[in-house]
Amino acid sequence: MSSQAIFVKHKASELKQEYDPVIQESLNIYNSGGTIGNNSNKKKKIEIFLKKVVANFTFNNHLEMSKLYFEVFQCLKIFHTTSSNNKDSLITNLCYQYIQQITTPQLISQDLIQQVLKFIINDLYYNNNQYFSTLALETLCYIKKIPEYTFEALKYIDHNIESESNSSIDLIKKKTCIEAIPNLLIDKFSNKEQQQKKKIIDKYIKLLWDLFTNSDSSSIRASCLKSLQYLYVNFEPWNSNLQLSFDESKKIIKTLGNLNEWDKSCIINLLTLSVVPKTHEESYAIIDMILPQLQASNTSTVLQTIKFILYLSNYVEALSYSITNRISNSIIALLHKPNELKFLVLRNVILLLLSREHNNSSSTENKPRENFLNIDISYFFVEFDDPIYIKDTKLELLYLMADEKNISIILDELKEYAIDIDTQMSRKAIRAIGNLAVKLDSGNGKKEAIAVLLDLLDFCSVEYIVQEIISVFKNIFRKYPNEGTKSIISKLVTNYIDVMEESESKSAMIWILTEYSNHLPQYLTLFDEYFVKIFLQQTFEVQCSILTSAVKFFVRDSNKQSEEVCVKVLKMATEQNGNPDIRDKSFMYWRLLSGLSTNQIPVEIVKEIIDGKLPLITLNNKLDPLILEELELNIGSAASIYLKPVQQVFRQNKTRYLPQSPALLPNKTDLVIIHDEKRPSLLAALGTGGINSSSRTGSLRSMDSGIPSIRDRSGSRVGSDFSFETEFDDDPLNNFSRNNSFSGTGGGSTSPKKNISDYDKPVENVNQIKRKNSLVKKPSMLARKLTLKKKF
Amino acid sequence: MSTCNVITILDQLTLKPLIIKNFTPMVNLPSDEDDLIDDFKKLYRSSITNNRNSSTLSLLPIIQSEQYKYIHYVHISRSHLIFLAIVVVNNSEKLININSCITYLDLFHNLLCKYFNLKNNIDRDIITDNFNLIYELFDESMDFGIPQLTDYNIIQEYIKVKANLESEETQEQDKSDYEEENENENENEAHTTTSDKHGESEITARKKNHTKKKSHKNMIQNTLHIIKHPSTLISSVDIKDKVMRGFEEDESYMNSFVARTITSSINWRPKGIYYAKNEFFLDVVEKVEYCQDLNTGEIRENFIVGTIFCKSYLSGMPVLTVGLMDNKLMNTTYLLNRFQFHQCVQLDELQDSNTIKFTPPDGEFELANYKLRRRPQLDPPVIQITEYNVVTKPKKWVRVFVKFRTFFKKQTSTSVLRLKIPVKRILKEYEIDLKTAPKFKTDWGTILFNISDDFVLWDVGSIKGSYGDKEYETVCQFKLFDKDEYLKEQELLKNSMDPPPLRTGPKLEKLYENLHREDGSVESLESPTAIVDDNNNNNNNNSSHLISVQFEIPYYTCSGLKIEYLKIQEDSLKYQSFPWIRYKTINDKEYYFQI
Repeated sequence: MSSQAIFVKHKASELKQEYDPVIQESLNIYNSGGTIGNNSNKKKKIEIFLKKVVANFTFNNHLEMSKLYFEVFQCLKIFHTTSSNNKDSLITNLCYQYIQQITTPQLISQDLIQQVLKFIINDLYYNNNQYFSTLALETLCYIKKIPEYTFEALKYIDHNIESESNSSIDLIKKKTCIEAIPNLLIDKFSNKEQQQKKKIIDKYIKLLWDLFTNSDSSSIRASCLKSLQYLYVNFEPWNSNLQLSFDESKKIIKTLGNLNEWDKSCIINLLTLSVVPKTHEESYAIIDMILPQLQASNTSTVLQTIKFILYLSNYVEALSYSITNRISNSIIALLHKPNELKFLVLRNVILLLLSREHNNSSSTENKPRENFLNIDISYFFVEFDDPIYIKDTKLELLYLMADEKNISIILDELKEYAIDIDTQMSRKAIRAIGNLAVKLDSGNGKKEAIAVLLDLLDFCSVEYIVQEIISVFKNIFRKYPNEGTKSIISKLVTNYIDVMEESESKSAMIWILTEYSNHLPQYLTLFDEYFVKIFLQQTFEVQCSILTSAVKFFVRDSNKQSEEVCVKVLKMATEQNGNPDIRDKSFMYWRLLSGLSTNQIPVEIVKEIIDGKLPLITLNNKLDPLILEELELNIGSAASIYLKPVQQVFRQNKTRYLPQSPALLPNKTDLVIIHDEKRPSLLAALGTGGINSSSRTGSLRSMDSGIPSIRDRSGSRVGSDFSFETEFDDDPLNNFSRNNSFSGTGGGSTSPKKNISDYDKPVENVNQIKRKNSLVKKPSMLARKLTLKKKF
Repeated sequence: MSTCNVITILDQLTLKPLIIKNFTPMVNLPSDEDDLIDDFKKLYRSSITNNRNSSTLSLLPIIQSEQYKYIHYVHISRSHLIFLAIVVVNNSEKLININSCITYLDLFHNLLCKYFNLKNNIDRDIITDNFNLIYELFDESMDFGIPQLTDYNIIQEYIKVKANLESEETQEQDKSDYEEENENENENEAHTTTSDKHGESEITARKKNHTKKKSHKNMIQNTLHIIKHPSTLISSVDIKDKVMRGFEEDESYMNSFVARTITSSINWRPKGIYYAKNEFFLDVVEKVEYCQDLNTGEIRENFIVGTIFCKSYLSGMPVLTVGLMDNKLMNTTYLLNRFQFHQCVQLDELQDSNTIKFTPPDGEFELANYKLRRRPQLDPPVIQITEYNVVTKPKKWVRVFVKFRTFFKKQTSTSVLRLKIPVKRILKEYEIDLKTAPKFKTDWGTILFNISDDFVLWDVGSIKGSYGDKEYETVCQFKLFDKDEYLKEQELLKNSMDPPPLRTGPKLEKLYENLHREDGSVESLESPTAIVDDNNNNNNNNSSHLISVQFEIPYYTCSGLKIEYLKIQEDSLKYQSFPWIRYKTINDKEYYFQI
């Protein structure tokens, strides 16, 4: 049979014409009680007819195909499995596919719909074949637009769940029924039917709990849990997670081994937040029980397990080294999966690192602490055939994992990437080296990073590399002003001043030139030649930089040459320039300077305004602890990929937070990881076992002070858990964008803060976006658009 | 609760949907699936155009639609197809469980591969030809958007629609015959090397069994064939005596097995399996991944990727226990912690006993896999190239010396060992006179010169293991073009009356010229002299700097993993059973030395 011919767009009338005779003949045979042979021509033809119809759905040809409803229904009748003579599972299946897709009150007559419904119900109750009875149920659930169908489905579910039979076929039917419940209920009610709604939901919740407690089959119990969770989360008055007691959850975890891999993953996912350990011992017990699941082959199960353990680790005082080691091992094993899964794992590793890795600077107080993750850095080295998203993520990981010990290895590796053929990659690598230099402010880290950058400059003179390096150097100098030694500066400026093409690197070059003009004898000539002369052709950012620098030079050392340059720039900026922002800015400077000449403003103040000391930049790669907590509870969900607060991506979702419990650890960093294998002795040594009742807010505040939301939370933390949801709705967003505020004006200042939310943007854009002050942004953008229009 | 709403498979080139399956009825879906697919196309295309210069796709596996903020696309690309899941976030679905979503897509792809008996090569035609089968697979593997079942071993028990492969049945038959032959060959190889272990008689017994097993496999896939060809039916029923096969025609009966399976505690194995001869095959295959820069001596990669494959032909509900041998080389607990196990393994019993306990699914499955990092100083690679040297004598010749040492157990030996030495650079850099055939010299194996792809293949064959005490060497000599001599010859020819001397043998220089005419781009003509399993076709540029090594060492595991015992217990049937264990170490795709 030629299958290609099936996969073609058809008209209903064509098909009708071609196949109607065959269907009629078959119908006659059927009505007279005859048999259509297995290999008969008629049957084959009908098969092809149905295949053609179903294949047409792929072409979005639903409307056309809906005209064949009656014919398809006839086929279903003739070859249905309940009719003993001519049953054919393939044809039945195709018919059901069709009915699922097409049955809507708008397209099909009421009469036909009723007939089909009768047919399906017959299948539902009397078909011995489990496959078709579940298919019938699915079809009923699927066609939600017709209330009769939903009604019948619920009726059947009631009937089925209440039946006591425990034969295997009934069990699987039951399982399907249980999982269908939330699907049927979710869109069923309009707003008017509140009263009725509550009654029905109550009824099903009770039903499911009964089934859960009475059933012996663990897979039925799992399905019950899934549906219950769904109902609890989505309906009033609960709107919260299912709560499970310690004993119940223990029982569930014990039977995990009997579950299908997917059920397992679902249940472990559900256990997070549903189980709230009351004491440390409870959480240890659960961790021990869940630990073996780390070695399952299903990635989803493993990630859910990691999430669960991480969640539980908030309720213990110390974790044994062997546990963290096993988590690390399973992560390493997951890194062997196909790219997409690898990406997922890597993103979640970032989360783990952010939330659990101890701050290097803070760990100086006492003995060195063990890291939560224990993975060799080389697992995150970029491979040439990685897709870009993995490369990016790995770079980010390398950056996060860098410390004084492994910096040289990482820098070596980054240096390799910097000379990669892929320009994007090499830019990112250089950016990362620069950020590392800023991050590791003590010890050798920054020295080595600077050395590597200089090496790279010597090694290759490709333009984009040089430009990127210059931009990066500016950040380094802003952090360590003393690193700008004469040799480095003169090398950077004299050799590469003519290479600069992009606005960012140009601005950076101007900034370096201005800041370290004392190292350069000819700075004004250079400035004049390379920047002032072409002032008008420059982009907005560069013009700003030139303007600021020109004024700075003049204020710093007012002589004839500098005055000349300054006046030239100011004139160009005010008279020939079309950009109002630039014009305003230069008028402001002019005003200042003229005030200086008339002695209205003291020189010191002008100097302070124009050439003030810039604050040292710091790198902020920390997410808000609350956001982190939330992300941590959402490992394996899309939020963990976007690394954004959940509301930002999923507006309707509620914030998740750790449920309160006496065993809750007040501060995440208090978690100790110990090599000792025997935990009880450790607990004794720590003198705990008891419960830390202090509110966790105090320590949070000390970690990251000045965040309003945390204080808000500290108030409500003590009270009921629900009260601060309202306050929460917009807070995380504010917190998150707080990193974006920055200081400094125009040209010189760039925030090198590598915000974690920017991972998906090319690195070189990150700074630009942040540099724009919200005030400056809009008119300038407008102006640029206008100038563009002029050109055309 | 549900993982995804719509799943479709798209053609990567045209981005046209090949199949669309809507799992959850979407009452409040803003628009048609097709609009969404168009929306995805837009995103996908724009990511390509934005990154034209970089070779790899930059699109994240999960993206948020720009047009419809509450819609997210999760996609994976496999074998030129995009498996796309459309997830709608609404009142009831507030968070995407992307984790299960991607895992499901990945496993579904694996399921398709297994169904069509192809490794990663499903293409758009196969999808369109088998859309009804795929619809059924979708139906079975997901209910209301919740993944249910992706295990081939179970699903194949009750979705028995014949895969409609593009070729006629005969061809398919041929293919499987060919595979069978191949398998037999491999098996035979294994026998010769392991013959000292198992008795001679056992081997013949096993061979018979092997054919049995094979036909059993065919049968599962071609149940419909059997109905069509009564002759095969008889013979295969003869061979195979699974009781349940008798009920083949009666679907409802068949399904009752499956039904029981899914809800029972051991859901991967149906009850009532019966084999006359109960056998269990366990293969430990370790692939060594190794990359070294010979100039600097830097080792870039040194890994072992191990897999334990099993084939189970056991009756009833057996419980198997695999004990690992604890030796100096490898601490068992260390190893076990790094394993990822098939769902049949009882994970909670691993920790205490260092044994793997499980009830196997029927047929083939992968029991465990692991990836181990090797210590660069302490663990030398299995085959270590110690020297690569190019020596020239101006105007005379250029010689390439390659030496290697072996590092594996003395009692074992390689069954395959091939070194692929690239000479592209030499041919380019030096003026090689190919009129005189290059000379090769070695004490071990044979040497083949592939002129189309510019490499020398040193087929060493079988050598014994050692701990680096013996060095194996080869020399390739190419004659250099000598202008003076050439002119002299020309002069001589011009002046003499004799015809130019007759040359025998192939005219290599002409061949070379033909093959390399379009500046450097090598035609993909496979030279008949050398058959090399070239895995890195796509990084042809790099391969001229890499000596790649292909080897296979039966009965040896690089990691030192050894199975101490394999116990098969079936309490109700109490049959005699035959466990077979094999080990093999082979090279991974990446096993090369940069020169």
